[in-house]
Amino acid sequence: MARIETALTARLHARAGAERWALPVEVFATALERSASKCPAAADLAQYLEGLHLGDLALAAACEEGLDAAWEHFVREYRPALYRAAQAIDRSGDARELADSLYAELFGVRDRGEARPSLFRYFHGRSTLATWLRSVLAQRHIDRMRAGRRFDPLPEEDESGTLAAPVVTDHAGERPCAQLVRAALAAAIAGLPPRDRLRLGWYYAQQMTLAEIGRALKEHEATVSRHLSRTRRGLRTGIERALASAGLSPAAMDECFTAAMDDPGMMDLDEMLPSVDARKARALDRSTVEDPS
Amino acid sequence: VSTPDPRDRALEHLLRRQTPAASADTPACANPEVLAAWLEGGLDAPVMAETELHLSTCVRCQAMLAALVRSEPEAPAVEPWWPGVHLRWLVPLTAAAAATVLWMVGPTTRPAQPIAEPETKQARAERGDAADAPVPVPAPRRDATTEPSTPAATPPPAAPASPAPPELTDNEAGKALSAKPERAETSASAQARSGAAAQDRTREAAPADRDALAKQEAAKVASRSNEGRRQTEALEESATVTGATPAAEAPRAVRAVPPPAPPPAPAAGSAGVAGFAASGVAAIPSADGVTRWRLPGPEPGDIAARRSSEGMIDRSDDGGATWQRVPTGIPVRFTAGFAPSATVCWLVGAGGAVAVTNDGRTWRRASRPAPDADLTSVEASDARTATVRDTQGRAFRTTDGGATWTATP
Repeated sequence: MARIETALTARLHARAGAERWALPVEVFATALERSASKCPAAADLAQYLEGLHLGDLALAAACEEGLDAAWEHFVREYRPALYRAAQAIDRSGDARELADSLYAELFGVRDRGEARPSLFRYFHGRSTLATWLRSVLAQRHIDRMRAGRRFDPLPEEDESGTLAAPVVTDHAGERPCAQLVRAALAAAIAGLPPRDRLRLGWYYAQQMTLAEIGRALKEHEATVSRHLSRTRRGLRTGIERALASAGLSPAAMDECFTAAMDDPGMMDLDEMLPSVDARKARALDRSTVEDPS
Repeated sequence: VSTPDPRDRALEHLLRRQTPAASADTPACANPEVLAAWLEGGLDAPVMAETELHLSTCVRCQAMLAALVRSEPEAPAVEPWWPGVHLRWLVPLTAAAAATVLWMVGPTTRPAQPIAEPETKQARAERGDAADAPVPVPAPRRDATTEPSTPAATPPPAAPASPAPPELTDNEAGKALSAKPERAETSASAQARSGAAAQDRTREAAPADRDALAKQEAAKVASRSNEGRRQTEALEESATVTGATPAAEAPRAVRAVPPPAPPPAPAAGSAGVAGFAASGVAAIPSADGVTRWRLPGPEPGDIAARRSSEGMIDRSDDGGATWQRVPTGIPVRFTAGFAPSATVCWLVGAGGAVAVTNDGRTWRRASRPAPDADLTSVEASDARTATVRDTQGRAFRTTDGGATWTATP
């Protein structure tokens, strides 16, 4: 573990306002060293540490240590936000449970001698504490959803409308030009810059709005829209180039595009996975499913 | 109504049905701490890029980030910067329209008028100003000189309703035109001013009026920033490209304008400097000598009391005799402030927090220069242009009211 100079630790301890929580310097130093392990080798350690959200790191360390003043502050300032965030993430009615389970993990288990440390030890100050908490919530929620999906019973034969039947594609019977378009599209997407691919994934797979994507990428939503349009144009050009290199005429290309659109060969996530709310409504008793995370 | 191209429609359909490349959890999946840091820009560049590469292919991490973004608390209502952003295109458009009107109206109303420039510069000096001043000088219009930063939320001054619209000569109209691309100026006022300029061209101005207006315009132009000068050039170029302005007139109008000077640097020790007293209170005097702000210092007592000063600022309208504590609505303990005018004040704090008021009453949160920047000082020349510094000695500058920042050496 990286060693941090005592003087630097003391300075950061003071700057973090750790004395508010009566957090010992040694405990804060441990938190700093844990965070320092995330510092890139090429980076300057002092500069890295100076750039951390030190106040939040001190609060997390103090909460992990079980200091009353810190917990009092955390409960007053962060717990309501935790519930609000859980409500925003999970609108199925399980938000309270989601937040409470995280709260318990944050508290950790000390009294019964179990070696289950507080979740706070995984906060390293590279983001604000509030964002980290929401991120942990998001992870718990997504993993719970995915775990629940695995445990979802298959639909009964006579059960209609609960889960859209995946479209079975007879690949042998597919029109070749539809396959060509799909392959060209996949290749074009794979060749995109990561950020363009990320925008595409968020917009189409995650159905995020332009504003949400803009918030995540620090872009104006008009910029996001412009980038998406440009990406779509590039994808189309890539597909057309691939089809042209396969010797297709413009008329044949049109036919291929139409065939690919009409062709049900691709998996439709929307059809395969109905909305979260619908699935939750079907499986309200999923609380018995253990969260694998 | 345009019908989407069938190929575009097919592509859109395909994209909606596209199976993500990787949907299974992988060891490379980012943990919540990394995701949160990525979202806030708290990772160094290589790790940011590596994380983004993974995010672009991992549907689980994409879903986590989507949930994380959706859980973000609603940001306080931000005053739109529509004059500077969304309707920026109106500036050259309005200028072109005004130039067209000038071109159409000018020759018919004053067909035999000589170019006014020599008269205003030489003949005026020879005959003396006082002899030609029977008419009182009209009150100057509100503009960037009297109100250096027209706030986005402040209703723009209605130029047509302003008292006694001044009458402009060719030169002065040209000056008004060249002075138009002030980014914070609302399109309404820009249009109104263009219209006023066009109407004013149909009338002759008294020489004394012309003098006074020339001085006002000169002062106005001189107070504009370099950015304003660039925009002026762009505007002139735009007007030239449109062909709406006769080629001989545009340069003449520009020549009559005194060369713009750089914005005056804020005077240290006077308006706009936040000085910390021994009590820990930061005083921020304003240029008008009456309005004052101060940042409440740490308060004794328990945590709740101490926190009570977060997001608060004290305001005095009587030169500091009495103070009123007002909330900024931004829950940050501010560390420094700068008030370049009586109505404009910038505040900075930890975590890259920047707040600014354009009217001295309502505050809005500007974007953060850097997520890890604990800001300790700020200097500003108006509501749009400011430079902040953080504890690491880094400096960031904005020229658009805090919408975007660029690192400066």
